[in-house]
Amino acid sequence: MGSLTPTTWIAMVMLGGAAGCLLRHLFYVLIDRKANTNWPLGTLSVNIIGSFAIGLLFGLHQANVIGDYANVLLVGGACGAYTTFSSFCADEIRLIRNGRHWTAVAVLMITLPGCIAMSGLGLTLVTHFID
Amino acid sequence: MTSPSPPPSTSLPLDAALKRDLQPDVLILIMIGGALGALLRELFALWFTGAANTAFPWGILIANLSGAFLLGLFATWIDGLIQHHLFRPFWEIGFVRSFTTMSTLSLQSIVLIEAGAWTVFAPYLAISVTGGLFLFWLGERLGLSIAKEAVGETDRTRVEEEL
Repeated sequence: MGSLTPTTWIAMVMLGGAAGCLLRHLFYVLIDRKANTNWPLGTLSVNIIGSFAIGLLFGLHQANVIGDYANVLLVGGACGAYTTFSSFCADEIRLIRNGRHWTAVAVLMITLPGCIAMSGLGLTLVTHFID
Repeated sequence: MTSPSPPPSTSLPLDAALKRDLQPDVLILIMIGGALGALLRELFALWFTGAANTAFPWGILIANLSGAFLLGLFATWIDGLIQHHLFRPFWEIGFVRSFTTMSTLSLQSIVLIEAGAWTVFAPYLAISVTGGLFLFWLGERLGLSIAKEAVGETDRTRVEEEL
């Protein structure tokens, strides 16, 4: 919880969660309705973007650029809620069931290494430019 | 697939679907669900994960795996029982998708890799992915078999086509 009291911690997580979740929904509406493709681009892009953002924010908090309030609000709350693991699982199983095995493999290979690398990139950018 | 009447979500014209997804009541329920999902996830992380930065991330693992299972179970069973138009925004888009997270998993992976804690990172990632995929599938199977027992013969084909 850092320096936060339990009440403010709960409030920050919930505020961040509500904001991240709303942003994700708006992003899905934008991507999945506009992009004419069978690829689960909505889930893929929110996960990649959110993983980059969480790396940046984690680095900024470690460098004391943002405080504990912003950390709980943005890292655990907003980024956590903006990205989603359950939809990734749902997308994969639906692709496999529809016989689109290669798309499922490609989405898996892009999502996991991609998200981890994006978090690392965000963190590296911060440490590179701030230190 | 070969369904003669596609499910309502895709049969709506684009503008109507957009309008439905951007209704104020839908957006508010999504935010409430998201706030609760994020809170429960962070509480799990607080309760089940040790303080050290190389501790095994049990909290997020439990959240992600149980969320995947619940999503599969509800998609094939409960969603069919509760027809209210605000249930899916609140429960699925709001709660479950916020309860589970990919960004925290990525960040934890980076922290574990940087600390050289490969024996924590490797099983964490492997269990997350294989477990999440398996539990979503299991949730769907279970939900489908419960739904099949509850509905008549004519509805059974509809349930199967929705998959």
